Amino acid sequence: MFLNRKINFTKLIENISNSLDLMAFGENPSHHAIRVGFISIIIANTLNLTRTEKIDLYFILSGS
Amino acid sequence: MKDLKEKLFRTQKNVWLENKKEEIFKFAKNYIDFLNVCKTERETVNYVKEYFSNNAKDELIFINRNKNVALVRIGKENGARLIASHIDSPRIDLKQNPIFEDSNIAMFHTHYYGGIKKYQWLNIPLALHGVIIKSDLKTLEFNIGENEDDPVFVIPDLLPHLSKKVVDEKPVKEAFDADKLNLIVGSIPFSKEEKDQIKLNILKILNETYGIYEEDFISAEITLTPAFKAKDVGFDKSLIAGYGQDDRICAYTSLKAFFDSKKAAQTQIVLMVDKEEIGSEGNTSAQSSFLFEVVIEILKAKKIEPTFENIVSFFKHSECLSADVNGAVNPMYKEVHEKDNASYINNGVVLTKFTGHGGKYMANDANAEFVGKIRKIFNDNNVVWQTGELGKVDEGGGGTIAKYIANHNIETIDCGPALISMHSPFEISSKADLFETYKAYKAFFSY
Repeated sequence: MFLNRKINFTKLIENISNSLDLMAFGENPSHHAIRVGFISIIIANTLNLTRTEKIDLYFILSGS
Repeated sequence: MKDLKEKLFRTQKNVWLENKKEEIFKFAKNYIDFLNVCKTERETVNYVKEYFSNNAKDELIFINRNKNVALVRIGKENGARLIASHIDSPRIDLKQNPIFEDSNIAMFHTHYYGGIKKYQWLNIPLALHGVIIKSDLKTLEFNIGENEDDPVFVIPDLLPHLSKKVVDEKPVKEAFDADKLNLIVGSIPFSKEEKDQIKLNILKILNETYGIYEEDFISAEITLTPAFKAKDVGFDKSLIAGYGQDDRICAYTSLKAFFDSKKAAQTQIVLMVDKEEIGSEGNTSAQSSFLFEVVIEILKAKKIEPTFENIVSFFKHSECLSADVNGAVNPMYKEVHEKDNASYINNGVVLTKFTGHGGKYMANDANAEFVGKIRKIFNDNNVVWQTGELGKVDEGGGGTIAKYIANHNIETIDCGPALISMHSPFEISSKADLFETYKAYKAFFSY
């Protein structure tokens, strides 16, 4: 049984970011960061993540 | 009142009171032997290969890159009964440029694999298991530290006298830096010259013994596992402690159940995959196309054209026990469990309807119809079973390969024994639960 890690969020967010629905934010690779930032704020707030987790989340995402 | 209670309440059985102790102990002895020779996925595949060649009659074996394996017994009906486990375990791997020298000691850099508690790996005897592909593409497989005369390796902890500021006062999560999990491999310098003489001496020994050079580490997979053997635990010897029981306890019981079961109407498959502990990514994981390859070969053997339609139909008619462990209640940490939905040592094999974490995220949530079917199979075959959820709802969480198997439209549920101290170098299982898991898998193959 594997240990759940935050990295799963990254993959989830990546997938959502690349979905057609989100292309309204811009389709260029440079817009990916904007799309990812938007989604991660929604997810972090929806799941009520703590501040530490949010920082981790954004940190991981910035490297993606 | 008592009669009504007996009629309406579910009674949880204790395996020891339902089976013959001698039978359980006999089964456990062979399992301990298995644990001691299978500490990596490659070693487990080799074991399965040998077991297959000694026991197979009409069965088939498929091996993928020496890291995952499928055993198949073909049946007439469409679909399969599949028991899928994983054969990788949390461990510590070497980095690709491992060797360096510091403070009169030669060391290896490491990078941990899977969810470990770093402090559990300090100052315990470790063995090196691995494979090196040399520059001439010849393969060197080795393990050092498992035999009585072998040296072992150690990741040194800091003495308590000096650890107050750098370790003791920090939260555990921050106290142990992954880049400090370096392994002591030697300390004798080759000559009086100033720099890297201990490193040179180690490379000289490795070159003389194995014919390898520093660059060979780059095309290598070298793993650190605990060097100690699996052992009986307790005055009554009812438990087993050993490395890698997550999830080789399920691999072993599924292997035994497969060969102890007769041919059934549906095809029977034992699947053992790699990379579960790091999220089932990559070409040897549960997400690889290996299962497709196996199904295509099954269809071909049945003279059915392996079209997309036929493959999809095969999956749709298949059922799977995702054979993985659950976390048993540790009496010292009851607070992380919800007692009515936790799994306990000696209460038998655990049916885990869903894994994931708070809100069932990223989980396979088995269909009630399938859970009902498995419940009936187990009850009809006197299998002692329990249900279990991994901890309180928002406590943390884990996952298995169940969701990846279920994504093929295969009915899937997690089913395996509960362990205490899961992911530690010396995980604890119950011999009773081990035996009951074997019985459960056999019942699933045989219904």
